[in-house]
Amino acid sequence: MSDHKKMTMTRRGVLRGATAFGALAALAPSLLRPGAAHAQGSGSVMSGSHWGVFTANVEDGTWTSVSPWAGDPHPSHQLEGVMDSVYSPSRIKYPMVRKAWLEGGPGASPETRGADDFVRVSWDEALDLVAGELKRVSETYGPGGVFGGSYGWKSSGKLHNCQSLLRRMLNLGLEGMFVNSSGDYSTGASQVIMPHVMGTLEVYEQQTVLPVVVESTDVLVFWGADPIKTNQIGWTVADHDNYPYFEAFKATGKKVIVIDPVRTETVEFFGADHIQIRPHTDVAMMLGIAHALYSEGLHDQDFLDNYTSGFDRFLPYLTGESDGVAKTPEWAAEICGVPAETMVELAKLFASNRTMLGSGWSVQRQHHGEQTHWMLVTLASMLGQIGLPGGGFGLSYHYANGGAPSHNALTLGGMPDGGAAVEGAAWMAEGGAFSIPVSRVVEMLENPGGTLDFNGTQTTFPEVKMAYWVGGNPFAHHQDRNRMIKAWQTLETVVVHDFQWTATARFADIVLPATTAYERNDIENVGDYSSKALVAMKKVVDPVFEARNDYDIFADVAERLGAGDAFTEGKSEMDWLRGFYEDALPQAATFGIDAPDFDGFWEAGILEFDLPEENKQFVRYADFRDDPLLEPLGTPTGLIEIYSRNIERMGYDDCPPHPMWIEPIERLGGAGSYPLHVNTAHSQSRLHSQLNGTVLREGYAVAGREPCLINPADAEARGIADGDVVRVFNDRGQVLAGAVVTDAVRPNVIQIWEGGWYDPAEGGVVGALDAYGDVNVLTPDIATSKLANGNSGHTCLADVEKFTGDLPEVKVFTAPTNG
Amino acid sequence: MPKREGALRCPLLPMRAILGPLLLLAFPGFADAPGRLGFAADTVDIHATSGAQSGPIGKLLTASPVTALGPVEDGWRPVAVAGWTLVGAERALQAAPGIRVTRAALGPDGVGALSFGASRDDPETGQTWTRARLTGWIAVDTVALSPDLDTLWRRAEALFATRCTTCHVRRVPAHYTANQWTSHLKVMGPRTGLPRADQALIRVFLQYHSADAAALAAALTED
Repeated sequence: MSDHKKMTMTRRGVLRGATAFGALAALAPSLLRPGAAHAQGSGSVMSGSHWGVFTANVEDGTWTSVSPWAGDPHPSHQLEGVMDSVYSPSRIKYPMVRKAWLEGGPGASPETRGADDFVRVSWDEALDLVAGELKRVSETYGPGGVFGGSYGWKSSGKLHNCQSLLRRMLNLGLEGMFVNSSGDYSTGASQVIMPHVMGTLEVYEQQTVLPVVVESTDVLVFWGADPIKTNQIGWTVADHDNYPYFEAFKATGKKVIVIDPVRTETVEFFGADHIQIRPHTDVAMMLGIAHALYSEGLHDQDFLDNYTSGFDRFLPYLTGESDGVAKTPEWAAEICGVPAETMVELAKLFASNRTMLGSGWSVQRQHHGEQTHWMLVTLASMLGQIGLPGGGFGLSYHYANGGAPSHNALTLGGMPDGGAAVEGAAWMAEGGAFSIPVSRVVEMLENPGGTLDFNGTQTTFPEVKMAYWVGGNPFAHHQDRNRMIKAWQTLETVVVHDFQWTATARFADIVLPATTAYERNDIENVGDYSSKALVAMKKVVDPVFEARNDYDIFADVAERLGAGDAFTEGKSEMDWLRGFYEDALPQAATFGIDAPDFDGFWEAGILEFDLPEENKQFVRYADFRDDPLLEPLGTPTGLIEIYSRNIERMGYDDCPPHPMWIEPIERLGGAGSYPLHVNTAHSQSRLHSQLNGTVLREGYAVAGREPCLINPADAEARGIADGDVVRVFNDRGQVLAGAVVTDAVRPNVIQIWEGGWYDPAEGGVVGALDAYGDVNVLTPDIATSKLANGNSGHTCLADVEKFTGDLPEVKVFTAPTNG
Repeated sequence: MPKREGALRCPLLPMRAILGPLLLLAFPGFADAPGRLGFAADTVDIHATSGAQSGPIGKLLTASPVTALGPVEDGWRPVAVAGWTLVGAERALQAAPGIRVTRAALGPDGVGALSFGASRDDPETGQTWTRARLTGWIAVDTVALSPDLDTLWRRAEALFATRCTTCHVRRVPAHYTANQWTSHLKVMGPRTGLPRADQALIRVFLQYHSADAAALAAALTED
């Protein structure tokens, strides 16, 4: 520990000088000037992040320690990494341009992307290059030339929302003619299938609240969900309000069942019954339980009759009348590896108790992932408890503390994308047409002019020649890295803003150093679902090196495109924040919220809201259950659609009109030639790829590499010992990792967390050995189906061997040579 | 929940202040002539009889096409709204069979103000829909009507483009059905922080530009 502290303090010592240098850069014209006090010298300041509200202590302009807000019931240990991200050795210090691009122009030697050969340029030169490229590409290739569908976990904050700001610049500066994206990597399949089944997205919606679950649920199931791990983070600022309720549920002694190939944090926390299912076979297991319910007469026919549509079309499939294969527990056991009698017991347990089927999103991030939640809903419908207190299903208990009751809060707007300036009909015709399901971006680059079937429509891929990525790291979240590297080579220009040298930055042509959220002022909700407070995200320290706010960067690009005034509306940072707050303030009178004026709020730093008693009683779908005719679902029938005529009409061969077990391209016990399933769950100590480049890594890295959890039997068979460096490989690529031999993973399953930074031993070379352990080098880039076109990052087979070659150095956590 | 008109915080005038005079200007000679009166620019209370004594029997929802049945009498106008009802759910008058863009939501007593026409079975959903016409009275001086839908849509689109792009990428309206938009707005509407009337306006705008846009346009010409 002392070594570790020494190291980080030394690093900060070095950077303190650098900060002084950065102060010179701050003399450059900036539209945003701090309008309120922040810790420029010494003191403490409160701010917020995806990991929660915190207080930063600052000494002589350097952030030296961090402590969680007293109102956080379960602070995340990741806050230490939040602080370290500001001073990490992989910080981007200056505007940089890939050398070959600078010398040879757009599109020059794209194979040198990723080779870390950058040249420092001035901000003025960098901004001229960016604006010039936007103009050139737009004029040369038309409205489909620029991809602005930038996606990822941008930092918290209503104003410095770099993705809205990017689109604002493109809407105002390029008249909205850019290619946008739809969907996301989290819930790609579910958010498209669920509107057909339940009429709504489900995945980002309030759940039956946890006080009701604690009170009324007898059996709490987490199917492919690890809420104890994943609720550490929130899209706005994490509240962690789920944890006390989970404690309370645990204290009741009621049953918790976790269905997961891995013994998760959640299993440990609850002391849960753990069913170690074979990966990728969830639908088969659900069918086995459904068959047991039906054959034992335990299903709720009244509920099916009154609240669902199409069970009669599904039933012949379940019984095998339609295809000759009864989906019995015995049939399912062969596929999922769970004993048939366990499925029968579960059927009886679920039917005779108030059962909440909570599910995560991993099970839909798979080939044919649409089927999983559709089948879960079908199972819940057969149990007939949807809309009853503590019963039914929930798809967001693991995300952003879904299920934490909602407070009586002010709701703030945020930075609009400027699209109101784009004439509506034109946007609907042009911009709308160029909206690509985000996980199909590589296919788009490979196949300009090609068509994509998507949810009943056909889209033509535009010829994209420039990509502008902010607030995201596609070289972490996208699958099949080697295929991606090749596809990226079709781009003439790639622009990236970030604060660290992620792989995405390293594969860009123009890299602009952005501030972290802690080097600027902002405002944000605390609690995506609970909305328990508003936090003033006050600037903690001055920008490091030449980092600038995304807002200022885009304002300057917009200025060069003739839209500077439209972009800023003449407002400063504090003008915007004041505006967001004052815009929401009239809600205070309407809803009886005690709220100060903006200055009072900013001074106080946080505004906490009341939790009305009635909000602790919310039961999802109670209104529908009460009156399905006047509170219909948003489906054609207004009912839960176990059979969808709309999907039937699409006629897709990979998404039938009722839930089915469909073999994926590869799985354990199914197709595919490699012997191990690769589980790509989230890490306990980062948010996707964020904070991998911080001191937190020292808490989990093995031999300096990303851990690879492997069962003792599999390790022994390969002569692998705990701590060994291993090579994990399949036909798509190869990565190094550090072995952790543990029975937490099922035999024939290894686990490498998603989000490890891609670190090719030979930069930019397709097929290069990844020295650190980005698991998406191994995963396939295939759509879940034509319906949703979600990603299939949990579909993956590979093999592993002890690595005995010359060990390549891990270089991705420091800046490139000239950076 | 209390109505949230008081929460209008945009530097815009309340809709009635804009649309009230507009309506008068657009239809100066309309005092006696029956015909299409306009479209509800907000929720509009409808009463069984002239005068407020009896209380409303229901509400016309934003963008409902309103037809005049006769001249104004003491500030009250007899009107009709046509649509379809699902058997068993007659309290909701919808724009088209199976497309639940609600034109009127009725209290239990309001169903008596409906007159019914032919029924149609929908083999897809197994539902039976019936042509229905709601008649009643509205207080012309206090309700907000828009002469056309485009006027409403311009305001709706500005709200949609500014308020529905701050948390996520702007959604393409035609990627969802009208029924789905109802469910989406039920969840997402409150997250805009906008008054409920504005949320309703965004919802119906998206419905009219949804995958069901053509059917909804056709339904308007049938009225």
